[in-house]
Amino acid sequence: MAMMIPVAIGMAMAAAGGAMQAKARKNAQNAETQSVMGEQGRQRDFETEARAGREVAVGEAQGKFGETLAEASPAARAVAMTDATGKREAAYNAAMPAFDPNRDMLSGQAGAPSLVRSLIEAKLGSAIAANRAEAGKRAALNAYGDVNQGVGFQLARGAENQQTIASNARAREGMIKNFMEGSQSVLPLEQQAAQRKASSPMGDTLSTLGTALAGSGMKVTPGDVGSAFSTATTGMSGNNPGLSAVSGQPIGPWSISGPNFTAQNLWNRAGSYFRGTPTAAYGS
Amino acid sequence: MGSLFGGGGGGTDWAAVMARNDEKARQASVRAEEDQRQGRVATAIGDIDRTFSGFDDNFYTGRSSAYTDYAMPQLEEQFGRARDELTYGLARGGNLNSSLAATRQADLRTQYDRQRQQIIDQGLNLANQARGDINETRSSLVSQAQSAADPAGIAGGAGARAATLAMPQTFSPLMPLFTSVTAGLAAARQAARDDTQAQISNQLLYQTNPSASRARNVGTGANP
Repeated sequence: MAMMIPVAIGMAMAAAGGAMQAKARKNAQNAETQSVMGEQGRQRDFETEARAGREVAVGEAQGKFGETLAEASPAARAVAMTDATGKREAAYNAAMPAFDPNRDMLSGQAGAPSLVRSLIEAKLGSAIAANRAEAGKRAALNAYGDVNQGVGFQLARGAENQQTIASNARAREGMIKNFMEGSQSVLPLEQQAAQRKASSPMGDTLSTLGTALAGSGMKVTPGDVGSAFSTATTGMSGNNPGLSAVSGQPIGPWSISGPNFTAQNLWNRAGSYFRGTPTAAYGS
Repeated sequence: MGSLFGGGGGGTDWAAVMARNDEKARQASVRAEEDQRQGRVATAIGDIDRTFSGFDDNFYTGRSSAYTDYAMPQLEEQFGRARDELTYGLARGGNLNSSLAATRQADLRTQYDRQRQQIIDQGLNLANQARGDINETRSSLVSQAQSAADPAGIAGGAGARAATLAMPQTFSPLMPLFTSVTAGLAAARQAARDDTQAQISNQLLYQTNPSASRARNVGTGANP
């Protein structure tokens, strides 16, 4: 019956250690899942931002294109054509002086018979009228170039505005793509950190110690669990079979006596045994 | 203590957290830089537009007027010479007060009006060409500003480009415009002279040679 107690304690410790390890593994799994989900969320946010930016850019570009089309619409071109023709015709007519005897009659014709003079003036009047009519047609012909040039400028300005929008949108999209890659590059670190959470030093200790207690025959002296563990392992290794590593006393049969052999004491001793190991130092 | 029971690697946790924070900070910085870049581009385009705002309708009208002011006096000078040549040509043939003179004067006036229209056209074309050059330069600067690392530098260079474009243009003198004003007058005069001489010759011939006159009358069936 006396041997059953340490075995039971050992089994309990092993069970507790196992539970701690399982909890740690679950925590790690949760952390890993959270890190992946968090990254997925961030990637989704980036994609949403990129899509929204793209839609805004396309909307702006379409708006500018619509403005350009409106400016270059057939109705607008007809108005521009009338305007340009009027300007050209006015310029031509302003450049063509009206009939002036001093300019148009030749010297020596002042004394010409009135019949001849009338004939000359009529011919000149007809020529001037024909020239003005020709100027109107010439204005309509050349105004086409003016209007086309204006439309060309409007289209170029529209394309320029669209180019600015597209250039900015491309830069933003490239930036967001870079963010996505940058965010993804941190994920492995977070996953590694999550995987490390699967390690539970106390769980490992309890499990090992419990297994040792349950599976080994050793003398447990009150308040010296650590020594007992050493003794037990020493005994198991076969270096000094049957002797306590601390006291040098022969070990076994198992005996537990005295008030110091309590769970708290065991806990404290186990803790002090492993304290100072590199693994236990993290986060302590 | 938590790491003792529930998981270790607190140092690595911090490394991941710090890496995430660093990435967030980097993204914020890149975002701010991109916003600033787009702001700089917009500012540069605005500066370029302000620099080129001087090239308005008045500027192009001025370009056009500069040419017409240069060319019209030359046209007037050539017109004056052509009118004189026409006067002499008609006077030499005694046609100064004739329907031929009326036709020639109307032709001269037509040529004169067309040449004036041509000069107006040339002035407007030069203005349009300047408009095209200036727009092209402006577009090129805007395009450079959109892609340049230093858009402000591009905008700063716009002033020099604009100054070059605003420089006065040199024009070529007009070629001779009224070359055909007196064409045909000499030939007409010669033809008229030949016709007159033929009439005189005929009269002399019939007066000095009655047989020839008779022969002519027989030939035509008329009584002598």
